[in-house]
Amino acid sequence: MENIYLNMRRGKFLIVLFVAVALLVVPVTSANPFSDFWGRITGEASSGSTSLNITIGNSAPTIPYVQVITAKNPTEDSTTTITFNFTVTDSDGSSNINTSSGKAYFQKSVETTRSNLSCANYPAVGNSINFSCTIDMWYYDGNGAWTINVTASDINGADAENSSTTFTYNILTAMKMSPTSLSWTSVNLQDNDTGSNNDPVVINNTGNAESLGVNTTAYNLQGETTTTEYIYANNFTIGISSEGCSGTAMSNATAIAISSATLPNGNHSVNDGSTGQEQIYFCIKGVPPTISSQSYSSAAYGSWSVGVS
Amino acid sequence: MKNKTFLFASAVFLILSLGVFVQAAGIAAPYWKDNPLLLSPGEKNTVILYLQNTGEESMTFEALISSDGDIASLKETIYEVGAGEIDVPVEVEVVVPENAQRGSAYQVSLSFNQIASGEGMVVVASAFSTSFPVNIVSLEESVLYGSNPPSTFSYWLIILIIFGVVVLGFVWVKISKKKKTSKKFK
Repeated sequence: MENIYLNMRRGKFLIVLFVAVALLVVPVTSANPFSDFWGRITGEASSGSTSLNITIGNSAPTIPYVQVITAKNPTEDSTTTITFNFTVTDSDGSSNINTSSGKAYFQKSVETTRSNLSCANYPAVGNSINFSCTIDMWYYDGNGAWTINVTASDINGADAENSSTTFTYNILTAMKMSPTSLSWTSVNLQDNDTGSNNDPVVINNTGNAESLGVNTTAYNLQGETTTTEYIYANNFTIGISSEGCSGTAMSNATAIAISSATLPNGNHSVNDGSTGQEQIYFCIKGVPPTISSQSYSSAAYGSWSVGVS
Repeated sequence: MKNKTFLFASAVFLILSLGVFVQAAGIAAPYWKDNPLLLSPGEKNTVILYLQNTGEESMTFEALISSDGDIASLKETIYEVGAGEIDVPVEVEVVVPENAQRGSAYQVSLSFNQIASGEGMVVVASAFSTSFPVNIVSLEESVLYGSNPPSTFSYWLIILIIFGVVVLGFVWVKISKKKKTSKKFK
């Protein structure tokens, strides 16, 4: 009987002990006190968040070859077409190259960049594709070294660029002039400061030489009937304002720079009188008082010349 | 007096205007102020410039050249440039004196004056000029450096030397063999 009593007490004790242990262990284990145990010992974060950007299986293309462009001459009042090739190589295979991505730029400081944004591609050879680019250079584009910048990309958007080469754009000293002869309706002996009736002579800089000066060579005009009579070259003045009568005096058979006349390079099609353009006016200050009424011309001593340098 | 007044009043100095077409011409050059021709003393080089005419009619030009020390000359002085031609060559021969000082510079200037027919009118012709410096530099800096291949004489000289060496070697081998043979018989 006593044994039964003892066993019952032991059973109760065990139940109470079990419940007490359960009450202690369940909250502790649910709090997971050992989850950061390693981190607390080593100081390392046992967890954290980070973003990973992994591109698998793509190498950026390269441009190992750009064709040499020999020195080019500008074409007067027009464009010079330049065609050249470059090679794009991709170690992932030529099929990985975006065939519509070939672009080429000709660049020079303070000059307008000339470009071709859709270079043509040739059939692939191995891992490479050749591109052919055609770019027009204008007559007023600056002379000197131009950087050849070519780019391409692969179908994954990885880019390649090569701007390690240059080409030389030569100098062109050129002009376009109109009209090419002058007229005065009539001049009386007592007349002073009579301007030509068909000037100004418009001179366009049709090359890329910068800030050209303008000079004129005049010759005495001989009478066509009485050949011993002349209107002398120094009876004429040439200037850049209307009539030209306050301009620079001429001297027979002598090239004389027209004061203030300059001809910068630029797109003269703007036709604003200054961009790549100059206008000069011709004036008869007066005629020798002893000459007779007749026609006078330059036939005997040759044409006048308007020059740029 | 009346006559004189009439004469003066009607004195007409007529210069006819017949020039209505446009003249457009120029000269392209590979050298200019900031891009000089580099040559060393005693060198000779032909520089080619190109005349252009994009106008409506052919044009004739007279070329004039001047240079420091007369180092440059033209092969021709009259050039006919047809309408639309942009590549009529102008050859300028540059000869640098043997005694030219390195670091010195010679200026070469060219002018082109249009020869225009002008009967019965005052014709205004076109003219343009260009110039470039010739800088005297060392042989290695010259534009001609490396461009002249070895002369035929040099090739023959090298071949002769190699041939001579081979013959000498052959003779030496023969003599030494002969000596060995004669020693054995002794």
